Amino acid sequence: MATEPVVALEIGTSKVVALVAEIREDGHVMVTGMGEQPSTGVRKGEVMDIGNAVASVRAALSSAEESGDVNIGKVFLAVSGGHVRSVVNRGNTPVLDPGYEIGQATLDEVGEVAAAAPLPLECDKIHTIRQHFYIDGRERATNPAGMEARTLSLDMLVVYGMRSRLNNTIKVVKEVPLDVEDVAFSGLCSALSVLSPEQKQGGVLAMDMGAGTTDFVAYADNVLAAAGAIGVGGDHVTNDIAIGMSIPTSQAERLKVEHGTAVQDVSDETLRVSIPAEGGSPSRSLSVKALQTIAHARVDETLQIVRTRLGDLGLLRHIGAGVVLTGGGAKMKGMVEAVQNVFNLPCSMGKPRNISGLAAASEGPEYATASGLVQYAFKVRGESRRKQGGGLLNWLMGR
Amino acid sequence: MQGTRMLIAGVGGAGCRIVDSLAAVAQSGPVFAAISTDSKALAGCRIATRLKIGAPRDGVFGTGGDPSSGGEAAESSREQIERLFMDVDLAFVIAGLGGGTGSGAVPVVLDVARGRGVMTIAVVTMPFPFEGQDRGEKAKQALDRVRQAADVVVVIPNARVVEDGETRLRDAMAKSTDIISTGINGIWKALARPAQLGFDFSDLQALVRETGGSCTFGFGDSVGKDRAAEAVQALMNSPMLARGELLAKASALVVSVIGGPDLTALEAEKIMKAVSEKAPESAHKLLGVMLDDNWRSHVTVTVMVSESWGDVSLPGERGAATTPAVAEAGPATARRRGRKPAATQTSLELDMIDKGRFKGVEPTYVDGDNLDTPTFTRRRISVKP
Repeated sequence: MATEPVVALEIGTSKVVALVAEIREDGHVMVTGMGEQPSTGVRKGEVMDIGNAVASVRAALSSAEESGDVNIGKVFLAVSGGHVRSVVNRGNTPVLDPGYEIGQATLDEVGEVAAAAPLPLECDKIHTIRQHFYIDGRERATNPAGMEARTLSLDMLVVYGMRSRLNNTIKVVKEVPLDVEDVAFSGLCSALSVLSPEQKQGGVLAMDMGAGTTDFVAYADNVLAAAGAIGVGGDHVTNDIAIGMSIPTSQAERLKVEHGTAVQDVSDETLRVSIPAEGGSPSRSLSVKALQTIAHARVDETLQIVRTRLGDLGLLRHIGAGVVLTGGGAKMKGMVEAVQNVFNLPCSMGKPRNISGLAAASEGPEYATASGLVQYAFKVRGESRRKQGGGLLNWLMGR
Repeated sequence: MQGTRMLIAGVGGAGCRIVDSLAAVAQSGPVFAAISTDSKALAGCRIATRLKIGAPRDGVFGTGGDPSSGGEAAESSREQIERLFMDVDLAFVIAGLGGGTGSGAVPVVLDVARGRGVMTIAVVTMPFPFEGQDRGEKAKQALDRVRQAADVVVVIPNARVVEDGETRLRDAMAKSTDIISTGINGIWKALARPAQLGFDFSDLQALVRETGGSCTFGFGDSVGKDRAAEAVQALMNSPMLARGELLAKASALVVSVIGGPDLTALEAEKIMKAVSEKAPESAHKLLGVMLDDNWRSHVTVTVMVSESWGDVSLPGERGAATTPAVAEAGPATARRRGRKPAATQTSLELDMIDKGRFKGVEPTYVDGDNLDTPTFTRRRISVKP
């Protein structure tokens, strides 16, 4: 075996997924084990009931252990929730070298300054990711080492979230009990899994539509330009339907999956669907148009919010390569069209890249986060080996 | 009204000092931020969110007391300021008027907040008389602009903070900071906590609006057996309310009582009655009682009173004090500005009905909308199942 396998764990709102994977010499990732469980105790991407969540995680991990034939001791953990945000922080540092040559010390220094973004109270960094260096505040440079300058600046994207929420998710893993090797933002994982280098170069929005949250990351100019999450997902569509139709949530979920569309496409206004009697409520027939109106309103609103976020950052005109969708919510009929309508950009479904082994993990958009987390994990391990856990890891990963 | 996200921002030297001392007392709840042109002043702050505004060249020295450069600094940092107000429902913006940053930047900060649909309460101090006429003039002009940009303005003349000639300058400054932070504490708690007997921001706004948009406050607190009577006594002795004089003249007042779990109904009633009696019978009153586990055996009564502040009222607002009672003034008439998002009252009602699956979960707010409420309800789309 080339390397120690990694275990990626995603404690989602609708499901808990654990993947066991190994990396081959050529950098290709093989999934060797998988466990999946319906999730309980999680709402909108955040842990609400630690006890229930622990039970789901244990079940998912034990089936991953069984199918992967490994003992799991530590995991990489995906985190999300509407509290996750990002900010670009510019760090400046004078070049102290007598010949004004930028050396490792200056690079380390500027990285540290740029990573020290002021954050709202009670927030922790999840990632600090380099964007561009600037020489004397003007020229942009990718690798300024050895160049001459008076001051060196660096733009750093800092992804952060509320400490208590992040800790709750970590706590679940500790209760199992397991160690957390590192945490990563779900939206970033999904993007790592499905985006091609060409898309990143051209500017792209990767949107992961989960049950509890809609995560997004945007690349512009080959760097990660923004990341965030909105605490709205497929559960909201279900809930809206349940309320609008006055039916139980379980029936609303079924209706959504079978007849829900992200765009309104019914020409026949009188089309109706009947639902069976359940839990004391009699059988009824419901208007498909009403159902689609409800779903469309929610999807449209959520997309508009993401669009506004990116628009506020001036990023919309930088995402020439369009929008790539992942997550279970992306499977809703008409979603690609809805995205195209809102963003006025090409849109496609994301497919996990450079990963093989289990069909489910490599194909479904709902497994993009877990498979991206596997790739992230190998990246982190690679960096730490090269740097022996030194400064680089710290400021690449922000912890 | 659970889940009101508050930001308490101090602008300029005095504002930062006050926020710093506020943050030291409040364990949790609102987010605190310090905004200044002066990086030295920011460095002295112990809170996590510190924003230096203006060009780096403006350097460490601030504005040199020039409001227009304070305004420019804020304009040039609009984006960063805007980020502070992201996902905030209600913001206190605190500043001392008369200097450069406070006077110049506050109107801009309020404007940014307004642009994001955030409700704002500006709490500003007016300079001590010994600070000179120039500062006094600047402060008055700035107050005018603050009045136009904020939803509610609380004015605290520093002159009232100190008793005649008794205090040393350094102590006077410290005392001003102290009093203001205690007062703000009383108000934000009243708005943040689900009050046992309460009011919310729209009530407050309606009341203040009606009286011309500006007010001041005083407070009294006490511990022990006779705390109710003593707190009222302390309030009446407070120079902030000119020893009860302002209360007697008030056309509107907001009384908030914070007590521990041991506060009895009788005590609360006693305080309310004692304070109400001091105000004219015709005055409009908002009363709120908040229970705080950390306030055991302690009681604080904070009173905001309307005060028409010199000649700074906006055109058309004069004589507004004769408008009908608050209870009858619906949100529509209470709100002068059409630009604000629809009344918070509406969304409050919806919250209670339509939580469904998200009961017990912290609501998701974006731009003042609770996204857990179905979109079709908020967009007022009629659905016929």
